[in-house]
Amino acid sequence: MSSVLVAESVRKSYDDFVAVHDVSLEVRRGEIFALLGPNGAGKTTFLRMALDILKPDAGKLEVLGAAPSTELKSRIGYLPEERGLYRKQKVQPVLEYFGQLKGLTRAQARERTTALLARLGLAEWADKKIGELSKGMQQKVQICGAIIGHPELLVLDEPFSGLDPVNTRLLEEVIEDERKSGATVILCTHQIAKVEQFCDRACVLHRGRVVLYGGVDELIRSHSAEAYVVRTRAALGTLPGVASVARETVEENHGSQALPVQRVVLQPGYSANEFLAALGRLSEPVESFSRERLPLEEIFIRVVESSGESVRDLLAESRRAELLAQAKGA
Amino acid sequence: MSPRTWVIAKREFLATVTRKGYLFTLVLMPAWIAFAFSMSSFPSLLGGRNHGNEPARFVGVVDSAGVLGFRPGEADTMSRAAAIVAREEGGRAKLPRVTIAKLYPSFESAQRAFRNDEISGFLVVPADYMQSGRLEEYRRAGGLFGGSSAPPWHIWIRGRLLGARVEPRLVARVQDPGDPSTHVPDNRGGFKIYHREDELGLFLVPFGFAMLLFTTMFTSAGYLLQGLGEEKESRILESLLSSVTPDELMRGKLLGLGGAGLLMGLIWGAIGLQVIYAMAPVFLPPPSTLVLLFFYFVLGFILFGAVALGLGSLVNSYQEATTISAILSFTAVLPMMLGLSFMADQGASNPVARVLSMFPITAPISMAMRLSQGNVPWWEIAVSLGLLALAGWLVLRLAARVFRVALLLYGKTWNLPEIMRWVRQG
Repeated sequence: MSSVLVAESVRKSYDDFVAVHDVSLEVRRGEIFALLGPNGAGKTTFLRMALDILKPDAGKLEVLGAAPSTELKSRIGYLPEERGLYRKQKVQPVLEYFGQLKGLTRAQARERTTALLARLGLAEWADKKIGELSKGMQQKVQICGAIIGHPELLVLDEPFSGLDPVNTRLLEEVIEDERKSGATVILCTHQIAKVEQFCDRACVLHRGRVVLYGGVDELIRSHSAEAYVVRTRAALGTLPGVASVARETVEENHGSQALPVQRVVLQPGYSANEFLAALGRLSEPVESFSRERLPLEEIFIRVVESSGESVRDLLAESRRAELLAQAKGA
Repeated sequence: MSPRTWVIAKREFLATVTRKGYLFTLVLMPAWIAFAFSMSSFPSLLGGRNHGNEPARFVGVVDSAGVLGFRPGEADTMSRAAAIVAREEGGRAKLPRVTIAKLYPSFESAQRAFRNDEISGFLVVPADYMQSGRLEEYRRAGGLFGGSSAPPWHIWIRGRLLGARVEPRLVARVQDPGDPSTHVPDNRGGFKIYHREDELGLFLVPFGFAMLLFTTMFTSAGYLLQGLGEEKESRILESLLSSVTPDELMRGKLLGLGGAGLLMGLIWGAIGLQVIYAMAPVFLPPPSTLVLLFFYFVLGFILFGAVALGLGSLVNSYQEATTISAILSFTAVLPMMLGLSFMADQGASNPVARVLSMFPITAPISMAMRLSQGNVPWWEIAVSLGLLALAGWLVLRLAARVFRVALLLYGKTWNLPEIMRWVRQG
């Protein structure tokens, strides 16, 4: 699989502050790649370098097979975190302008604008001034602006912020459509659940450094313990290869007593297949069996906290800032 | 020039020329100038009107000195002398309103007639008039333009003092000796007739040229600054910079807004030339002056536009941009006022005007004024244009460097050392 973005030891400083510190990563063609990190982690600076808005101080950066340049800008779509539109102007001409800046002819830009506005449910707002639109609608106009040029690389910085659940679902579909039509997507978000749902691979930046990088499933697997969650009444501690068992609280389920949830850690050398075979030999019924899966957010927190930082506070702060921004926008 | 630059230029042009402020300026400025001009000439218009057909008015005279030769009960038409002059000039002179002076024996009787509205005012010639020359006029206050409708006392008294001692034609000439025609050196070593209106033209035409250049350049530069302030405030720049380079953005804005300024200048220029052609064709500038004005506009706009772009990238909001725009305009209007006062003295060859027309910041306005007066040596024009182009190029390069670095800096306070650092970084 070819690469759409390759960074090798990329570095960027503002005076004495190192915003991006020897970052190396690769974004593969056709994937949805998550770039994560708390506020001030260096994500925006990295993206600005990829978009040729900023120049790196050191390292090598390749986008769509070449060094970032003006010529590549028309092949990249970007939804910045700092949103902005011409509030006094009407939706249709502003989007046509963005389309023309991406290299479309006027007719193409008009046609594409009409199609996108219809796709995002904004057709009847085409002749309205942007300032008259709600924050969510303005957000959708910006998304139209990001994808108007049929980008090969689509960079979305916090695309879900300010959207209600219906529009969030709509945007998810739009991102999926873009991927299906051949675009590679880089997604920056604080909603890490979305990353698990959407993204193939992820990179977590913290204080300008890569602290976590790889496939999302692989990251979760490698950071989750060799533990299994079994729902049964049977006593599992006596089974061969079981190192420890933690029994969870028994839940009430529609008036009947549900089966208890037991977290089992295996001894080194024992495989899941052997454990599953042993479960099959039990006389008590087993309602469910699964490998324990840590949420990505939890992994992120653990990895960053291992550097002595309270990431929970940082995340909480990020969320607070996001909520505040949403409240201000609403 | 990249296609994106043209797209930006077109958008900036259309967004500017459809702004209410632009359209207001475009329409209201000529209307305001026409209004101001008509107001300033209103009193003379009043005075110059032909009042010959208006009903006569009466005024009183109390001749305590007995020098006016009035017989009791006599009434004298004060405009008689003017009527004689008008008749002799073939009716070209404007006839004043007929005013009839009546003799009153005492101040009290004249005062009574005034209070009863029999007369609109009266003149008292004191007993010691021949020694003191003192006269007293009594009338109602006439307001701002009241003076223009006052009776022609001086002319009339001259006539009355001469009385029947000289022939009426001589009385008329004493009352109105006529104006000499003035002759000034021309370019061929001879003389040409100098019209009184030339003085007004020599002031108004350079002033008009300077105003045209100043307003068009600074309207465009102001919009440039405000537009950038709006874009910074609305945080749209990052979206734009993901599609275009800062240089393309800068060039597009300069082109678009320069075009909007040029359009304004062309429309106003065409109106101005039409007015000059209709009222005083002698002041019509030659085509070469118009071509030079075009170059001064373009180079001047590049200079001030670049300053506006550099400053615009530093501001954080529309309000900040508006303040800086006002300061920028003020610094440019000062040399214009200076230039006007200096040039009133020695015209285009005034040394101060020559220096101002070499200094890039003041060159466009100063040279616009000098060119309209003619006789500017070609080498001065070449040097002035060269220096202006060089300054524009340098400022544009510096502004581009600041623009590249400062465009995405929000909420940052800046100072000179920081700007110098950005210039190095950019």
